[in-house]
Amino acid sequence: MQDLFTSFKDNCGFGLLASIDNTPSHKNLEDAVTALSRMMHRGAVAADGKTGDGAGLLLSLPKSFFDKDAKAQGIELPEIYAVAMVFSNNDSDFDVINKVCENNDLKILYTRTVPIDTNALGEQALASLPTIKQVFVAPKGAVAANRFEALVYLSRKEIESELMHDKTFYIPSFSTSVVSYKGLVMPTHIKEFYKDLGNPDFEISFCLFHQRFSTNTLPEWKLAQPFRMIAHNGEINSVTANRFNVVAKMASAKSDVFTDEEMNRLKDVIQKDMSDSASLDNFMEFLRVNGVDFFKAARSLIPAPWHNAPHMDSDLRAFYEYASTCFEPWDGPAAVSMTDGRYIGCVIDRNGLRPSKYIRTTDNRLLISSEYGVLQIPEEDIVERGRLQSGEMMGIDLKHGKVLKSTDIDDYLKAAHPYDKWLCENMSYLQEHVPTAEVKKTSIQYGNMEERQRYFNFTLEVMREIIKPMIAEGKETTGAMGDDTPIAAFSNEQRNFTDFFKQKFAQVTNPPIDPIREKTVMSLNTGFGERQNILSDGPEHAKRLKTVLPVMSAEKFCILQEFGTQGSEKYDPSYKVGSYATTYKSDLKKSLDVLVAKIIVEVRDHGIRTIILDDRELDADNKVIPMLMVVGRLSQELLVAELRSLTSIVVVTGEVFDPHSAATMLSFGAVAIFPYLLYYTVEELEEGSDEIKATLKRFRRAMGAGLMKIMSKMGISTISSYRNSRLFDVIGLSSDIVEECFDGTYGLLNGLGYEDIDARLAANHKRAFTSDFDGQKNALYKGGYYKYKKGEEFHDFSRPTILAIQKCAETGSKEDYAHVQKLVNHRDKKFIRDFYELKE
Amino acid sequence: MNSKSDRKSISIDEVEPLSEIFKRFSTAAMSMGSISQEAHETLAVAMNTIGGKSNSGEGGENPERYGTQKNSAIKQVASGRFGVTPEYLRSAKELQIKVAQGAKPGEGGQLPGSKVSPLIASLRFTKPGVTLISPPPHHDIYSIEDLAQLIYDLKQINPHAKVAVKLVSTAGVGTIAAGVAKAYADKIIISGSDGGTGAAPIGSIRFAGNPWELGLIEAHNALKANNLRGQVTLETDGGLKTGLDVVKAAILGAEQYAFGTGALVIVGCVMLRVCHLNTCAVGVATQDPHLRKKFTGNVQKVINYFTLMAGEVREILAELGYKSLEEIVGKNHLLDVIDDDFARKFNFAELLYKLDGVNTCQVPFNEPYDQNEYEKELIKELMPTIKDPSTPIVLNKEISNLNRSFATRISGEIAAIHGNAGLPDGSITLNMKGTAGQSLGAFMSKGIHINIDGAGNDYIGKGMHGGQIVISSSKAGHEFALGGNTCLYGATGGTLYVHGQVGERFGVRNSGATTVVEGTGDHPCEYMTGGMVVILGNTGVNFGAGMTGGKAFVYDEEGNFYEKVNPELVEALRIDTDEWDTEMFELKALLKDYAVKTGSKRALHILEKFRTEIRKFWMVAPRGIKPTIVADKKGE
Repeated sequence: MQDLFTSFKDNCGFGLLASIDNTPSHKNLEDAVTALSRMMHRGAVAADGKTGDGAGLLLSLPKSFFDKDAKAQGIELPEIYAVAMVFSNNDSDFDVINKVCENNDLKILYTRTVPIDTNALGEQALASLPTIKQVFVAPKGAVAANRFEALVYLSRKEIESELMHDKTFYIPSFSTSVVSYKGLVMPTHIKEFYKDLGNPDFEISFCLFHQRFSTNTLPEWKLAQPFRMIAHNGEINSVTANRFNVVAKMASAKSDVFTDEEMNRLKDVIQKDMSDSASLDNFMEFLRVNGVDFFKAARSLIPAPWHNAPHMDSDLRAFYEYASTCFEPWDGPAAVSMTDGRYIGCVIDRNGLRPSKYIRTTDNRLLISSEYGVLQIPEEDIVERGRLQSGEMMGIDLKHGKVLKSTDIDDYLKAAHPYDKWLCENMSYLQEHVPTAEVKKTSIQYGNMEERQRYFNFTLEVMREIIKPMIAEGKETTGAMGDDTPIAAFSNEQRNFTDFFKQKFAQVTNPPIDPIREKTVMSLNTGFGERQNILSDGPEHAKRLKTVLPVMSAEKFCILQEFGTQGSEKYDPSYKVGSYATTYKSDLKKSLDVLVAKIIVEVRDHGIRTIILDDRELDADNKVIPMLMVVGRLSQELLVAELRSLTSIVVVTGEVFDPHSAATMLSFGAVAIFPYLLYYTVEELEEGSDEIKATLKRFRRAMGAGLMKIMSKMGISTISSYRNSRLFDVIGLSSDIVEECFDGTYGLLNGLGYEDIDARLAANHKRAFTSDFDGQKNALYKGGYYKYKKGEEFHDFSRPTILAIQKCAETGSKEDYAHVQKLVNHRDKKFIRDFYELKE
Repeated sequence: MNSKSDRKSISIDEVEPLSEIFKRFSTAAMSMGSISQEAHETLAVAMNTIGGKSNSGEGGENPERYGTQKNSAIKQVASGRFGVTPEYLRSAKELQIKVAQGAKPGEGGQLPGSKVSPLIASLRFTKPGVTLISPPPHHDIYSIEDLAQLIYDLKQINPHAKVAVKLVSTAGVGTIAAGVAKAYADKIIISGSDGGTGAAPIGSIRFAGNPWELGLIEAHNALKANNLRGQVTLETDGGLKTGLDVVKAAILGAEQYAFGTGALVIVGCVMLRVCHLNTCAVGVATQDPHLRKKFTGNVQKVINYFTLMAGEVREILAELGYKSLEEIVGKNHLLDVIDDDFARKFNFAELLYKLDGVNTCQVPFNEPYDQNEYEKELIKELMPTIKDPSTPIVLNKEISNLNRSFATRISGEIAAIHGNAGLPDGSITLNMKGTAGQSLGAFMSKGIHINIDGAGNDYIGKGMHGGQIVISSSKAGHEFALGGNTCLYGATGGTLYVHGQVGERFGVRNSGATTVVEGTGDHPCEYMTGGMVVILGNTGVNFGAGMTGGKAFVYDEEGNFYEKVNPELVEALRIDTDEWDTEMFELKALLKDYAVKTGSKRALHILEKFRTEIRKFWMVAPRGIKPTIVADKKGE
């Protein structure tokens, strides 16, 4: 837990200012600084007025200023050069820079110590102040401009990776078009600190600006924004999934700009130990340097809500659906200003959760910022005063001096390729084939149904409190009062493995979504199939099998299998199915290792693409590995083996019986679920009904609504952003299990290991498969988890405790209170506090 | 308990008295609505009697209780903003922002129509029998700087109250707590996942959030690691029942302790878990008059139990050799992991961190950097009129985006003297030139008129109760934006005219304000329960989602509005019919006033050609506009 004390999240005030026709002036700089200073209340300010969480400017290269400065040193800057802004604490870092640049055919023209005034800094900033230098670099020979930019990027990534262990070393910018001036300095003092900025020769044509508000008080110089391309106000709720997915995508990324060997050298696209915003910047920059269109990149990572937007232009929707086959939304509140030097723009998240307001003035400038009034502009100088709406983007084509509104950008994007045609020809929805599905009645007996129900904790209470109400109400049922039971790790009763997992939720730094009233921004749209090269476009990218709900019907599950089975009419090797039983006899850990290793081989060597994990072979002799454990572990191993982006994991399981258990599977990497035992149970409960199909459909919808609820708590709108997000805390499992199966999840109170879980499963199994359980055949467990039942799960507000509390409240007598003390203070290892005693 | 801590046991007479311990106790937030009036008032009187604090919960409070033993010392500000008026906020010693609730973190709530009795409806500025929805997020907190803004708003309306922020235990709550401390909250509450609720999806109750111990340990230590522990008070809740629970919570870092389910059990709750059904058989969590008669709780029972519990705390302190709870807060060397095989499987010992630094709050208030000198100066000029409104006053001033929560401090002063009645209309007129900062006119009292020549920002008229805000400029009209997002959130009255567009979620949870604007972003009138909204221009999508009251009129020049309506609860109707003549002329009268005050060309045009232009209006209102009346139950 100790690492959590110093972790952080951040938000801010942000914006951009640009001369629409790209004319440099010192006024642009001064106004940007003023605008930033007038949003100080959006950042954190310490009592000295100097210490904050960081602020910065990403500026167009002040060419005339740099030229003059170089001349004074007797150096003539060439027409094309790049500038690296460097934070460093060791002179030897510059040897590394030298070496890497040399190796990449770049020559260092000169290194400039950036003049600073430390009086502008607060105590904390001063203590961590790095040396700040600018390194001017030019290509050794004649190269194309984009190749030079690519070599600069490659060099920076290599330098970063070589100096990875130096936590203070950082390159705020290294570019031919922009330079970063940022740090732990207040906006009001930034001009004083960076003396360059006070020089009237320092003329810029555009600028991104940002003031940070971090939740901790241990700010670092490198975490100040803007980053290399963006300044972000907001929080990426899905960042764990996005980072995971970037790694997965890299395995199949082919670049036109970099050779394969070079691509290998920049494998770590996402820099470690940085913020969510920095990760978005990393990926955006990677796409851009590889030639992905500026606007396409922006709208692929932060798309408008298109799934349930029937009013949206169909070609634009086609663009978004196409883009979704390669990119998952970086979801969460976002106002992002961004530039690649050629374009500058600002994009708002799909739900309009961060403010962004713009003003165009008579002197042909555009100012976008979190608030109006950050510059005192006389009303008569205002040409346009507007705001960006949910999911909108606006930008400037700096080369042609043109403002691009959201519709201009949309028109541009949708016209780039015949997306609609590509989708029509290559994308298939499983629903289309449902009428042809040959499904044996889903109530088909797998045998041992009651044993299975007992093994998977389908208690009478679960039937009564969970499953039946979902059938009746078409949604997860409402309860009242709190949870007064022990966590799974401390319980003496049979508990589900998914009980060890506690859902994460948004609070303060990001908002949850209303999945009912704002469902227009949400979607459970799910795709199967290989991920294509994210750096290219083509009809093959559109090839996906789709369904609108990850909890699959028997029909859809059957069709999915047909697509992946050799010999079937529908067979397509992109969906080749491999089914794997998750049963085991003994040694949980070893069984898991063997199973996962086997699947990896089959994916690598036998072209398996749809991995079906199946626990139906559970019987009197075979236990099953917790499905969640298999999913988590397999997903991780596939990533390491660089096979993750080729595969879709589907689970056939008895472990899923409610939205929570379904969400755990998806969050750790499953793409779809076929909860056979749950369907069997629903059918059994509805026996005799003529409308079983409709009931099952309603039931699945209820599961879907429950999933949306869980995603929305974390402010995530699409299932594609939720998948691999690992948005749970694990309480009470060993660090081995957490690291090997649930990496990226926070493990609290590490404890039970594979052997402990194995022992619990063995006991559950033995009890479940005892035929004369409870003296009757085929009886289910009573269950007492949701409501207190004598002899079942412990409840702290049990009947006896309630009576004892009420008695002593009535009498006020110490003797009666002693009874409460006995029941509560001596309840024995039910809650965390019970494991501590006052020193004796 | 033979303490060999670091001290020798002392006589219990040396330990601080019960009254000092009671000061650290409160009852957890439970709204008038989720629980019965009898239960709510019993807890309030009991807490006020012993010197603890009761919590209003989200749902307003009967003004008759203010200033009496029945007043809740803690007033909650939750996402629904029900009944959050200037007087309500001013009546509190502590203002609690509920960011999350232990039973259902990351979710909103619903008070089913069956529990919305006439009294409940009047306190919440809504109609009886209509289900009330609290949104999952506070629509003015999407981000830490937004929370800082709300805390700032609350510190302006009631500078004497502490502002508390309620969080739920989860890995990472420490850094959130540090951020909240930096946003100038005075107190942070770490709730356990075991907290209760009147209604929540059954999976949420079970599977979201962590035990309070983990969150408290993390928050306490993260605040220490960030050198912020001395700025804030920490409170915890979640199934606390005995003095031993309290002492352990103290040792793990909490200075204050709240009791929710426990308090309800004392007054009769037997955990039937039917709060959401209005069928509580013991009269605790129901509004049914017959069931309420079965309420057996009383003030004495609550006092008895808290006395016994505090007595146990004193006994333990004596054993440990400490004179006060304050002294043991964060002293985790007083705890040992139990000697037990099962316990050894887990890393309990590691949770007993030892970081340097203070363990308790060291300041009376966590003062914001921005002391709002601007408005304090204004108040000096306005005070005579506030005290004696017989002489109206007009001030002409400049304003900038650095002047946040403008007129909120003034409103607080008005509410302190005159309550929600405020001042007579037009007592104070503030003519301002420039761009106002965030939260212009937040929680505004009756009697203030603000005219802005310029623009506003986000949260204009948030929680507004009365008065008038008019924003116009020489660059205005439906093509210009003059305001930001989430205006009129939770407003209970007053008038807002914006001579231009505003941003997303306009009028969210409005329950009484009247307004005219010339365009909006997405989700307009979301969760609205009352008031009148007129939009003379384009709107975004998802209009009227969750809207259960009030009326909206939209001028649909381009003829594409109908598609933007979320039809789940509302319908869009044409109003140039006999049936709606009241509404039609109500609209016309409002437009006249708007045109006069803003000079809007569009409004003038509509008025000139009213017979033609009225055809372009839609009225959006809840379906079957008449409210359903509470169905009498059980064959009465």
